[in-house]
Amino acid sequence: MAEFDPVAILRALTKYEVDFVVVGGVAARLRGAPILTQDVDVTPAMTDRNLENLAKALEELDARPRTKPEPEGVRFPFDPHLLKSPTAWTMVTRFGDLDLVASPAGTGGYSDLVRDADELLVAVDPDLRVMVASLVDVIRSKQAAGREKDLAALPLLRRTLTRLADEEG
Amino acid sequence: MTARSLIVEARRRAKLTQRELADRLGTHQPVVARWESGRTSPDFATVENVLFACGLHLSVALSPVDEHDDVLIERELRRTPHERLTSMVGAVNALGRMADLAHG
Repeated sequence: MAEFDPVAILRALTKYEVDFVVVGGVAARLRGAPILTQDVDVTPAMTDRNLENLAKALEELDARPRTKPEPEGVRFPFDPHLLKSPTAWTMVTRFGDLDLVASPAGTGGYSDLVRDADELLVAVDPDLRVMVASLVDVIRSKQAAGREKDLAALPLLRRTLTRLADEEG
Repeated sequence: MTARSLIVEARRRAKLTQRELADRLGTHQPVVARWESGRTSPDFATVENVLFACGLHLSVALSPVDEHDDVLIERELRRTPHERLTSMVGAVNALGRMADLAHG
């Protein structure tokens, strides 16, 4: 299995000018929460043009849907029309796991998340800046998802949020 | 987490209007509207009833504060987003290599 390289995944999305917001565990980490995750979750804008760009990026990443019986993924031609479905796509790429989540639980998708997102510098040489969901939105989404692993992460995320609020206040 | 946000989220998940939720609770829509706007704050038992009316229950657990978390948070906040991502990737990949070794 390839080593996890979220920067390579994000660079590919950026190269093809995909509009997206980083959500989930990577967003939480970028916002300062000391958590570990092994996949990149992104919420793309669902416009036709953006999904065409996304399909090209997925091809370059050699993205394959991963399933329980096929954890290393199955070859699959990503069609922009298929990507338009509200399904969450869980995929394996050359650089690790990538999840496309059109509408993370408790949110209204890209247009909702991008409002409070910030463009953060996530890599250097060359610089890479991507839109990252606010910690409040990450918490909101994990609360709404209500899965055991999401709920388990909440105390740490909330404490990070409190600490950030103290810093700002 | 506030009573207000719990009620809003529960009603949204149950796909109910404020009036439908009020009907289930035997109360009136303006009462629900006041809870959701934060103008009035229902007590704990009322929140539990509201959630139940939405087909949900509130799961609450008491856990001791882990002060080590504060140290980890402090360390992360002193890093740039780029440094946070780099350190996480290093840790995840190191753990992966250890797991590979452990499993032969």
